[in-house]
Amino acid sequence: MKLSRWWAPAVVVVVMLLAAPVGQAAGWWSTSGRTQVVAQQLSVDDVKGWMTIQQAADGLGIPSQTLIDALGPQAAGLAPSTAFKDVEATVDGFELSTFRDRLRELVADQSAAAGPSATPE
Amino acid sequence: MSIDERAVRRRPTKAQQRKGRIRNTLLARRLTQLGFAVVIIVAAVRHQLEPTAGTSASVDALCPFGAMETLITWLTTGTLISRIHPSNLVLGGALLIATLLAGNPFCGWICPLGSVQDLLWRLGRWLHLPELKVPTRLDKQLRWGRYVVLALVICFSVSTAKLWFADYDPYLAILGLDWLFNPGGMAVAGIITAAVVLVGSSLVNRLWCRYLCPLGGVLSVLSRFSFLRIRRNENACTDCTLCDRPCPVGLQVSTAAPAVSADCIGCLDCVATCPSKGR
Repeated sequence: MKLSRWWAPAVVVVVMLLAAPVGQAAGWWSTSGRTQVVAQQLSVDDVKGWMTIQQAADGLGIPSQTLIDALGPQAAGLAPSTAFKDVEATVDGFELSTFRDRLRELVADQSAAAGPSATPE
Repeated sequence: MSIDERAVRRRPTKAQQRKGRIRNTLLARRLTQLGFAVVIIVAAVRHQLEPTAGTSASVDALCPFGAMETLITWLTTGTLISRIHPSNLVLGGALLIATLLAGNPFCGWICPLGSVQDLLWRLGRWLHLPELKVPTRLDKQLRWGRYVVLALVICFSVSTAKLWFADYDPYLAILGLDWLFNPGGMAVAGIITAAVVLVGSSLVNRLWCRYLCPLGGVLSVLSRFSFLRIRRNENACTDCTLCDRPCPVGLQVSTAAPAVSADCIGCLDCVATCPSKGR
């Protein structure tokens, strides 16, 4: 069967144009992994490259200066509003995946400093 | 002059009809390409102007190839690699459906990187740059490059769990607009790849699509199973080979037997050019 030459591009263009609205209607469409950071409700694994040092500090319940210090001497001039993805440009060899281990230590230290909490029997 | 003679004179000749067909097809394709390119450029500008707000999509998030990059990680762990979002999966799924239904006009009509290459090819001709003819045998071998790039991208995306290709991706380097808003933030490898694509595609039509595009490799495989494919009508074909000349990816449409190669990007230039409606 011979079809009009316009069919193939028309089908592809319509399907691609419908993808976003259909995805939105179905609740599948999201173009960002960014979420609201709630104070002291963040786990270390949830720290993402788009987060600023301040957001991570708030979420983990650690002072932002402690985080900057943990990044090393090269990070001394960084502002708390710097996103982790931009830290790479300032701190040689910085990778968020390896920095998470340091964050775990800081969170543990912070919990220990806050004192032992009562455990239910 | 009688009324009949005037009516005959006004009726377009076959050559005029063919010219009109070529013009209309090209116009429709250029307008569609422009529309999609504008969408991507607007998204890139918005993302550059409000990088930390998280309200505007990055050009990464609007690329269906992201679905391929995260597919294995998603199927095995249920998570997405970094910088890939559900929108990539939605667009990838839509492209899968579209390609199985209608072949691969995505590359010819929608992909903004393809549009940039078309523009540079036209610019190259306007500037009278030489047109590099890749020998047929070498051309066939170089086309495997798309699958090599695809294998590398999938392998490193799975092993690093991040958007490994981002540093090399000419789509991101050119259309992400870092070169305009944040030149210092661009990866050196991305600048080199973008330069090769920009210069190369003014000398070889659709250089990236022909030899290196990993998404093109995937779509080429999927196109083999599509319902709609351009087919050469052997009974109507006069072997004039006019259809070979406009093909942006250098396919020999005149020898198709009968379906055109799966590397076809569905631009329809060959169909519009055919003087005897042989396809």
